[in-house]
Amino acid sequence: MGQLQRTTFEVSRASEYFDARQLSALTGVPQTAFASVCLKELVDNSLDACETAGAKPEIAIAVSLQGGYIKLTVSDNGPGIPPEVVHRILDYSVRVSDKAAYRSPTRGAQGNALKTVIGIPYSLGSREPLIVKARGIRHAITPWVDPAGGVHFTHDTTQEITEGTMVSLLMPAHLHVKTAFGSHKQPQNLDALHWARSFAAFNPHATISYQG
Amino acid sequence: MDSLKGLIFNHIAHARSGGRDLPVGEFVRQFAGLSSTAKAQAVTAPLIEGGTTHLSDFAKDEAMVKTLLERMRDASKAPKASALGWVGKEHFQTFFERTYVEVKEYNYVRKSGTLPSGLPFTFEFAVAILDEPGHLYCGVNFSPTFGDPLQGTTLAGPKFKADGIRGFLSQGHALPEGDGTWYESPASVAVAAHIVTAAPLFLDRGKTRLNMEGA
Repeated sequence: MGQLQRTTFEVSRASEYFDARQLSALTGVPQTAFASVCLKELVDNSLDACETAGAKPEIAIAVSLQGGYIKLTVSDNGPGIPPEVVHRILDYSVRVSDKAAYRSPTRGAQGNALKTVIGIPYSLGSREPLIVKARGIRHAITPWVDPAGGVHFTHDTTQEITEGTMVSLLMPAHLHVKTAFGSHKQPQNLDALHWARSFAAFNPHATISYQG
Repeated sequence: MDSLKGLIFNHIAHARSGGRDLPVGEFVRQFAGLSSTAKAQAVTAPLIEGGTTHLSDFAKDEAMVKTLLERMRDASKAPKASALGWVGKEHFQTFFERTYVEVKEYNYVRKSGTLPSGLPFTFEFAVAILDEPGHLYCGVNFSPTFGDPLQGTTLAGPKFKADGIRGFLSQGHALPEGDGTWYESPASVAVAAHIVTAAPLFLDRGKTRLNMEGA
């Protein structure tokens, strides 16, 4: 019998951001709260971006059901996320943060918010692109994880008139849960109105609008 | 000290990848209470004499970070909780009045303190009595959380002790257990609880439950 010649493979840890179970461990919440994670991370980012630029934040949250999908859109009046930062966010080997190294009352500082938001819809089965509109560019980002765990992106950009930053994503409205006793659907637990109200409660300087 | 070390070595990594290697004096002037040139010079003089002129020099002698921190602390005052900011009584009242049909009674308390680590914190608590079921709004550093940020922390009042904000409100009959989600209150009260602290340490990966003993 021939001896198996083993090869040592390097597996990217980036795929952790595209696997529902690993994302659940990363974010500390169940998969049914993933829509809430996306909403919270996007609004946190928007508020931070506006404040850093010295703008009084005006944040718009829109949530709708399209087919079996939740469409979540968060837009702001900040300076707009620069295209080079969008590119850097797609490098899952590093974290991109201007706050992680500073001790200050930050909302979140891990530098992985948008990485998580890109990964969550894919992890739940969506193959729709995440749309980012900022600085005159519309980014359509579609992730793909190969069977060996390598993460790839289709990143299409087009010129478009933009204002601030707008991020939009589609994610399945239900989880398909399989157990030994059969399968059932579990809805995403997203109370977007409560999140919008909560952000309004804790940010006197901001205007938070909600459409849902 | 680990935080300052982390910040300095982030700057060093940034410089190695093409960013500026900051002079030590310029770095020190970025901190509150040390922005004057004279103060920064007084802090950095012995380091510069010893050859630590730029942040990259700390890579040769990591122990010098401790010296720098001690000198910065000696030359400045510890930050007060007021520097962290807060939401305030008026805004919470306006928020409740806009969100609910009628606010019958409103109370607000703000307390500041220091964590065992020496870092300041501010705690705000706003309660509105309504004529309809209300909600519990919890936040850390101006951002809502996924649950009770003080779950696992004992809150002691004059009459009772309780686990976390929900436990405290429940003991005070302000938040009885309901059938809904954690933030829905079957009692006719709306509550906003907000904690502001620098560099919060969380007990969970969802960034909800605060470690009020560490940081």
